[in-house]
Amino acid sequence: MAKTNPPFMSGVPELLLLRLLGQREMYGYELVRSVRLATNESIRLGEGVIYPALHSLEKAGALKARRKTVNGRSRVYYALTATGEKRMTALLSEWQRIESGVRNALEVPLNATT
Amino acid sequence: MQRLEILELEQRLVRRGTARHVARRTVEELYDHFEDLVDYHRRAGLSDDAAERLAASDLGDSEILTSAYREQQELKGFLARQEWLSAGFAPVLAVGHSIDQKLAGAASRWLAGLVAASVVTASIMLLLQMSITVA
Repeated sequence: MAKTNPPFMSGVPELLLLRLLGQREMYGYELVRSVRLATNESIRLGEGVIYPALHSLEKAGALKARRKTVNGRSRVYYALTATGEKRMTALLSEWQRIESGVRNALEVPLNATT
Repeated sequence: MQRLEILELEQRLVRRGTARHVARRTVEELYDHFEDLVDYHRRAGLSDDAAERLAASDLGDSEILTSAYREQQELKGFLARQEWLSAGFAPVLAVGHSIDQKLAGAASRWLAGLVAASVVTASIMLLLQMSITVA
């Protein structure tokens, strides 16, 4: 598993969390697994540190949490709100802008930049 | 992060400024997460001890988690968010406390003096009474 460089990853975990929660509501453990699966294991969010991110997004109104009992176990499920959807759209467009810029830069042959 | 460490985390987070209800829910969610990880590793064929060890390692360092919460200003308790208020009122509270201590000291000294004076007066009165009776 490649180690993730936090400054390089800035904003990416938030985008992934919002995107996956936009598909269906999930609890913390399920969400960590889904990120790994959706990114072909190339991004592995810290199992514990996902909670400060989720709580912060909830406080900002981007997510709503509810306790639900499934198979006898009570869990906190997170779902995307309308505010979260707007935030995800903004983050997604920002990500696409950066990704396109970086791809363009990488496609230019090395000797062409000098 | 071991099971016991998770349970102790609530107080640690609160001491470092995280709102109590956030700290409590974090511990509940982390505990569930830990149990899920243990189940996952058990299903993969590990022994109970090995599954717990691996789950603790997966969950990561509690210090990293505590630092992550400290960076989230919006998840802090009311007083931790009002640093200017705490900084501004701390000297006032300290002076207030000091005055209160002095007043309490003065009151207790005054009470002790009153008791002593009462004992001395009562003794003199008793002596006078005795002398009058003897005379």
